[in-house]
Amino acid sequence: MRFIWHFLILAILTFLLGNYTSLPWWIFAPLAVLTGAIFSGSGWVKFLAAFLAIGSVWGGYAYYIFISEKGGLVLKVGQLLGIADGNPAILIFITALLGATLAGLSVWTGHSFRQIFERKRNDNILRRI
Amino acid sequence: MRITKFLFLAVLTSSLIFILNVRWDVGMMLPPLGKFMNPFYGFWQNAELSQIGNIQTEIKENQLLASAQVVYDDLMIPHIFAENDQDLYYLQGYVTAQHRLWQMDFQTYVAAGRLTEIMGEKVKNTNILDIDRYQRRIGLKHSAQKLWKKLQEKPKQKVILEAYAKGVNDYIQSLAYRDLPIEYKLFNYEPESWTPLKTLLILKLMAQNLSFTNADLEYTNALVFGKNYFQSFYPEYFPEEKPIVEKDGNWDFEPIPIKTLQDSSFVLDAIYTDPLNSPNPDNGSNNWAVSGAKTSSGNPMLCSDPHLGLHLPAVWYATQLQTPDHNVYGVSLPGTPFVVIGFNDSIAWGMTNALRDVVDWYKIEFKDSTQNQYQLDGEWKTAQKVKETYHFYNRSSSFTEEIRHTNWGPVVYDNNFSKHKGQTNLALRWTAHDISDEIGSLYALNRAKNRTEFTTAIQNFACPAQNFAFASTDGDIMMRVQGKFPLKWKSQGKFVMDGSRSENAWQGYIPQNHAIESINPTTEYVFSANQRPADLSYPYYVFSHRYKYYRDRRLAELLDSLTDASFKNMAIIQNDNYNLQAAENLEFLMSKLDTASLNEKEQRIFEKLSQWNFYNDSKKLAPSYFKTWIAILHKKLIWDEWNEAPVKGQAMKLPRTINSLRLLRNKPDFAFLDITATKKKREMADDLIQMAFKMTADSIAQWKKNREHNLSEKWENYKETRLRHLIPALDAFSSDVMRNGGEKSSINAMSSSHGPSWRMIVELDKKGVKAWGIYPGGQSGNPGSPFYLNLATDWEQGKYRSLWFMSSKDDKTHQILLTQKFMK
Repeated sequence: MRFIWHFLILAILTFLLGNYTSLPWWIFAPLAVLTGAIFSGSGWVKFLAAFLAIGSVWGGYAYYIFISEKGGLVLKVGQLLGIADGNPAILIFITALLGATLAGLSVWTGHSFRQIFERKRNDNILRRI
Repeated sequence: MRITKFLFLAVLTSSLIFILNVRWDVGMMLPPLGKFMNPFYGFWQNAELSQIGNIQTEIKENQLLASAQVVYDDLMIPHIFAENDQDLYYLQGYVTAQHRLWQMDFQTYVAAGRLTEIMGEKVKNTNILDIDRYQRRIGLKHSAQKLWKKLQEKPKQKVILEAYAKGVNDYIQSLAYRDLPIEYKLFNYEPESWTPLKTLLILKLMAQNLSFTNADLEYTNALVFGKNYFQSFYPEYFPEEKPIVEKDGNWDFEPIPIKTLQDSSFVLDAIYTDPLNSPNPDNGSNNWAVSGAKTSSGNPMLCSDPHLGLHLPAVWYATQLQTPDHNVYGVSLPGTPFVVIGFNDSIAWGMTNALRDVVDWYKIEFKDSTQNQYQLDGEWKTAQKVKETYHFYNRSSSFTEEIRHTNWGPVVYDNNFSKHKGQTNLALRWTAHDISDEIGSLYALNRAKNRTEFTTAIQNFACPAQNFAFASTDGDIMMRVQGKFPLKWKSQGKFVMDGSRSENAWQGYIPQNHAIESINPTTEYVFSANQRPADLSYPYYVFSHRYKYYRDRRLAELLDSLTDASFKNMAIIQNDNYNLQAAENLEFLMSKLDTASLNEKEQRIFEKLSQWNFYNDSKKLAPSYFKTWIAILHKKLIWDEWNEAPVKGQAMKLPRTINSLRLLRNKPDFAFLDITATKKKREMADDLIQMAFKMTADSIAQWKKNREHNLSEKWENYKETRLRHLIPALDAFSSDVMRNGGEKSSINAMSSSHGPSWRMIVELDKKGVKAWGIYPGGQSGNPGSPFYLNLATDWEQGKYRSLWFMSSKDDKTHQILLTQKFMK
């Protein structure tokens, strides 16, 4: 359940911030650091939630642009970046992977921040016993 | 331990953001990948999801004096309706920037020698700094600055340029990062504010492209062969030439006497190296006007097709401009106000480049290595120093140099700049350095109502000199060779001159009322195609090293026999692929071949050539064979002596092909026809023709080998015309190979990278001017727009679009894409 909430919050916020504000392109990264620190649970679950959330928002939005565009830009940029035949699928995949990786890394950073305090609390409990 | 882990991850994450946020110049230039790929932010946002793109339909924040509106037709051509001049040019700036911001901005970097700021010092093997230094040393930026200073005294010009800049800047202000043209995202920089100076820089860049051509250094070097040989290499005149204006001595003015100083003019004591790149010789154009006597409607007609680099974003931006006191339509140069080539309610005009030697070099003797003083008429004069700093991308570092300016102009060549030792100091004298008023001239031209107003308007057009064709609804046609032309004695400035004697300076300029012009001639037509401006009876020395020789004569032939002209047959003439060079020479060349010695492959080529009708049509093979044959003859065999410079970096100029063909015919035993590598044999014309033919077959086979899928050598493939993005590295934004015909010397002057950049046909009907036009590319400069290349196919096929010349903003006779309202 926490996974789904985490996934949805990051996906929706990334979409809204990206589409309706002019905040820097990496705004989802500090966001993921924050959720990584706030949400409890396993680091791997959080990593997966962030990775998949940003990956699907970036990949999904890129795919939407690709199927709606009127000028054939995606193909041209693919060629420009040296992708064989400018294959749009590869370009969309790279786009998704880029966002996903940065999101995963960010959430992990947040998680490790949380761990600093969790560890301290555990120490205290041990001492009391 | 956990703190270390957190810190490590925090650093890793921030580093990744940093890495994905900056450009990496590693072998290839890598855009800031995160910024670039973010679909809400980066290049994905440049993909246009609708026909209209990002154009806003209502604009409340503006600096207009009155409300205005812009109507975009189905070709995305803006029809701008304003209440006054100031608003009109504000809107032209705004609207042009909407579609062409990156292109116009980038071109000012090219003109001002600031490319290192975008590209860095080097890109792969291209030294960008050298390109910039060249640009600054020829003084383009310097002269644009000087002109802007002078324009402070001309309120009208000043107001127009400032209004245009405000329009561009208001558009820039409205942009978020995601809206920036894709090139900014790729190179990771941002648009600069527009200034009137930038408009002047773009005009100066055009002046450079069209008027900087010269061969003075190369010619001077060639003098070592002796004067006789020099004349055989580079004849100034061919008897068949068909000048723009022929008056057989009937010039109705008293020419200004010119003092000749032949002996002091040459400076032969040096070998000149590192010649600067001359503008592409394929920059040229056609224009003509015919009177009502030659048209089926009885109305005069005017045609214009300027040949420039076939770039994307396209060179031209089509637009209609209307205020209560004028209504004009045509093409504009992105970054500059006005219509440059076009028509209004009463007149139409077109331009071709008026070739003339307006670039001269003077040898400078400095007192010592400080280059503080130079000699002039036996005295030491102080050189003005202009400091130039070149910043590299991101201001990472910079390069500074001081350029010396003399009485003649900037010292372009000196030991600081040349790669080869012993370079003589050379100062540049060029009409583009002088104060002129093309802005005022274009303003008046857009509003001219008749021949008198037209002539008055263009008299201020100084550089680049242009042949202006004109037709009016009054029934007049006219041609005028317009520009600022120095008075020269015969051969003055053909070679490097002695800059220590002021008597070598130009003695003034040809007065405007001595200009070459033709008004309503009895031939019922006027025309120009970059050929010699007047017959030899014109009392002034007019020299260019590359007056056209074929295109003009073909055009004259077609216009002579033209009757009942209409849009249709004018279009056929503009798209004429007839190769006059082949028509005049192929039979002669083939007659010299020993056909018995030809192998099977050569036999096939021979057959194709003998069946050829001399049209360079797209699917034919013969044009490819002919071109190869001539090129090998000319470059490899006849002028083999030119392939290796005696001195490293020596400036050398290949004689012209016209001249090669004449020598083969008229002097088959000319000494230079001998091939130097074959010591024992003395080759004559016939030997070379035969050898070149055999080599043609090999050369074609080699060409095929280098292409995929055994590509046919038919002309369209061999010629390989493409519309290329301004930056070669962004070739993915270029077009495919154009499936069209044409050749450099045919009227449809097509080459790999140059060709008709705008084809326009206008009928001057009193009841309403009608016009047709087409250009390679499209209105939008965005590779992600459906209007980036939408006109290319029609252009390729020689088709036109009827141009919708709106009578008022309420005109509803044509399809409208959108109306953009600017509220006050």
